[in-house]
Amino acid sequence: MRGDDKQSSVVQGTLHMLILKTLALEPMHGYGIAVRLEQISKGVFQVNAGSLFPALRRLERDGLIVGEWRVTENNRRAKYYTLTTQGRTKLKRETRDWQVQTTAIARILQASLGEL
Amino acid sequence: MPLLRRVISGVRGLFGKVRLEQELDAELREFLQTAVEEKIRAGLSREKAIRAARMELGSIEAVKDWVGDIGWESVLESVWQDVRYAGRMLRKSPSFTTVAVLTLALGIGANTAIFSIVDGVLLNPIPYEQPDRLVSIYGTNANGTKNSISYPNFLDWQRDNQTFETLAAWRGGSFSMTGSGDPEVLTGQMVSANFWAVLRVQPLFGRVFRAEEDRLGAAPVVVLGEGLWKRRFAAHANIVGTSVTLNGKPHTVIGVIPQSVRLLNPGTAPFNDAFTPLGQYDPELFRNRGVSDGTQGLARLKPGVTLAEARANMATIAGRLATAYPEANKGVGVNILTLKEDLVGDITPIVVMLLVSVGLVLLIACANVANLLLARATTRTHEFALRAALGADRGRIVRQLLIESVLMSIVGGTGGVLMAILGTQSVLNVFPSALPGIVQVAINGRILAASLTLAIFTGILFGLVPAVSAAQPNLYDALKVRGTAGRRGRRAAQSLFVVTEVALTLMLLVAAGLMVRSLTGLLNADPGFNPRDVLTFYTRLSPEHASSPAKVRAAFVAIEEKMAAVPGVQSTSVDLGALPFSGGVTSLGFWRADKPTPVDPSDRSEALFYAVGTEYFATMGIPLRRGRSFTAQDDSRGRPVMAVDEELAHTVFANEDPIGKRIRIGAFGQDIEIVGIVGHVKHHGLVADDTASVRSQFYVPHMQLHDVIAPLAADAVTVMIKSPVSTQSLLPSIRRELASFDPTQAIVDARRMDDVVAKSLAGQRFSLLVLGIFAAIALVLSVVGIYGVVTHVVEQRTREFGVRLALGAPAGDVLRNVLGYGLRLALAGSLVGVACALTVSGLLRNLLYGVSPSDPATIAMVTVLLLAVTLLACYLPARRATTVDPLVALRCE
Repeated sequence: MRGDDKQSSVVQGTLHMLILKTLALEPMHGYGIAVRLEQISKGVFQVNAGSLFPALRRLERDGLIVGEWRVTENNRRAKYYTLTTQGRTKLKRETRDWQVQTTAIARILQASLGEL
Repeated sequence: MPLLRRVISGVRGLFGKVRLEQELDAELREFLQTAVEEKIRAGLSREKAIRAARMELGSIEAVKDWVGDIGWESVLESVWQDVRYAGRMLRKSPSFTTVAVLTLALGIGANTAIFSIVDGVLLNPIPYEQPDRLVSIYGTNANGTKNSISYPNFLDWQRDNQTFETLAAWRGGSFSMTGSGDPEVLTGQMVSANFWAVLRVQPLFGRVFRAEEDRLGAAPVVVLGEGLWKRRFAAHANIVGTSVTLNGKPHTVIGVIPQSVRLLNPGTAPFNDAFTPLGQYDPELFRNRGVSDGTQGLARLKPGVTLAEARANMATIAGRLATAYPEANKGVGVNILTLKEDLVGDITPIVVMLLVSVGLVLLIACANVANLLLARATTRTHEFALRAALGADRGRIVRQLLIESVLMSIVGGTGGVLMAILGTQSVLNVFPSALPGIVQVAINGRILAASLTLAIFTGILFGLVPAVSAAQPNLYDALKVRGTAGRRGRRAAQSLFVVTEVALTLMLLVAAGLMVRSLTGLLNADPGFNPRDVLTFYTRLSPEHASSPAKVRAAFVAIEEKMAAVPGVQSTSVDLGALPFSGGVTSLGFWRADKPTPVDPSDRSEALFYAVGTEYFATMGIPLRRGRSFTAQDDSRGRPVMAVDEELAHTVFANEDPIGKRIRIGAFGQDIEIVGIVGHVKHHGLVADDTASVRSQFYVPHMQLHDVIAPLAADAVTVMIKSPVSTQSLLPSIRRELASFDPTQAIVDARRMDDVVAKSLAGQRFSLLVLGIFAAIALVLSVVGIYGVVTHVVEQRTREFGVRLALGAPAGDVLRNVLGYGLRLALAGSLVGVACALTVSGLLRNLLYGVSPSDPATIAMVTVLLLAVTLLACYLPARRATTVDPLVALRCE
């Protein structure tokens, strides 16, 4: 996902949701989020910095996450992001909407074999 | 509140830019570092790890950019960048920028000037509470729609109406003030008690009239105007309760009213020195239901009531009164209009014409600058192609070009506003009375905001086509050395602009030409009398001289004798009756004595009435057509005689000979014999007279002035004097002679009749001046425009001309080619312009006099002028085309 393509809002929104979910599990810094996303999706989603950081800035601007500088395990400084209450609410809502959508799509795809 | 949060973060982003960027930089470097470590841990060597991580991340700067694009403050920054870039670009081509900015200054400046006039005249608020609820009330009958109303009718209207919160009446009054220093004739009003309640004006101190003071026999009281109070009474705090002698009677001062109360057309004298109760005005004729002499109605509508409802209600009441009093009120109706319409209705057509003309000028200026931009765009195709190749999208380039245009427009507009301030004041100093209400031009915040909006809008308007056309270069062609990209489209656009310019200019020239002919006609028009060397002034008779009709008549004769004694006076006359060209009208109803009396009052004729001295016709230079003028034998002992004008003779007597016939004037109850016919005088004005409703005129000798009208004579008497001596020299002698007749006699409003006649044309002359200026600006702009386009075309075709000349074509061919191109543009523009002018010129009809709006001679002359001038403009570039050195042309680039 290149940063400057006119990403469809679906794709961009999905990334935001995935980042929120990742941070719901535990606060993380940028690289950690990228790695986690790749791991959990078993390599399907490979987020590069050009997409990740604009998304993080947007989520920060909208008050869904907050960032703070902390010292890492390696004794270096990194910016960790945490989910806010608002972020949690939004994640819940987005997750529910997504599930509704995918159920509907799945139904249509199944139906096309016999009922359409 | 995500919106608020976004705004706040944006602002923080604007101001904390450096810190944010440093943070992001640190974050990205940390990201890179972690990635490298991960890869090393996964088994890559250090260099391979670093390279792999770098490739994954991409460019740190690019990422920082993408992150920076989030948030609205980045848009602001890029716009600001564009503004600074635009400034640089404009500075780099000074000649282009100067011409463009000057053109825009002319266009926007002219518009600002007109805005200030419109603002002052049409938008100027009437200084009373809720002014749109105020209405003026006039009477109507077969002879007119803005007649005065009669006092008894007014009283009944007050009682019966249902749509007015308050209904008041007023008339102008003049009061001779004596006993408080120098005698002076004050101009003021007589008003009904609720007059100030209508306007919702509070006195500065003291009080206004009570209802019981507003009737005959009540103790005389007066309210002073603030201006008089300051001027003659030194703003004395204890003025209330003191006594002032007006017209010989002591009046108690009960209050002082603020300066702003003025109801008449703002260009005339304010009439706000003093106010007395209308109900105490005592001439017998005033209480006559059938007589209306200068009284007007003023009312405030009840909340929620519309003008239509008020009109309907008053029409019903008028109908009822007509049935109840058929003798006086048959055919008498009521005309109600908003106060604003009453005050400014007449000048609206002129102002509208000015607005339209100035709009055309601005369009022409836009077309010119658009052409300049199109021409300039050909030299910038490389720049745009490069930017496009580097990734700027089309919208960005268009936005940047529009910012350039708007910047030019604002700079030009600022210059224009300055020009407007200076220019408008100078024009108005030449014609101070041309537009009533405008003596001082003020550029206020409203106008500046309008001009700024206009500048921005103009910038977008003229910048759009060039911007869009410039931003879509064929990249491949444009990046080649010789940029011919988009040429055909641009040429078409330029030609279109030129044709439009020429068309619009032609329309303005036609309008100006028509106005010139109209004005010339007016200046040469015969007003029906000879105004040269005629001096007029008003005066009042003191109560002693006005105490009886006989005394009034004697006073007139005595004044004439005194005036005749003034050195340098060739002839003189006193006149009772409105002065021609003064806006006032005195008219009486009459019928032929040898025909049966018309039963229906609306079947009676009406004519303008003048009671004059024996030398009146000689003084005014009114020609005697037939019969005789008045002599010293036509006095109170002789037979009643009159003179009529040709208009009356024609209308009432058709082919019969009026001389010897008798006329019955209703108000006098007397048969009067016609002894002479004189030429018609254009009483209502050079233009207005032709369409006025009462045009016929009759004159009686003032020595035979009827008793019933003599008391009104005490109000204002006109004196005319024919003398070649200057007014400065005459006035002292006049004052001296008048003083010897009566020491309290004062002169009011001394004017020369030729000034009065000339001033009546001030509106037309002002329009012509302004229109002429606009037409001239338009012509200059169009010439510059055509010159620019033809020059540009010649430059573009330099190689072609060089080749032709090298191959032996005669120079004349090239010349004709270029001239032909320019001429074709001009002709096309002229044709379109003529067509538009013919379509639209009907709108000018109301402003023209004696010339038809589609006058072929004017249109032809103007077209020829335009073609000749444009041909001249093309000549220079055409000649330059013929002097192209073929070698240089072929070698170029």
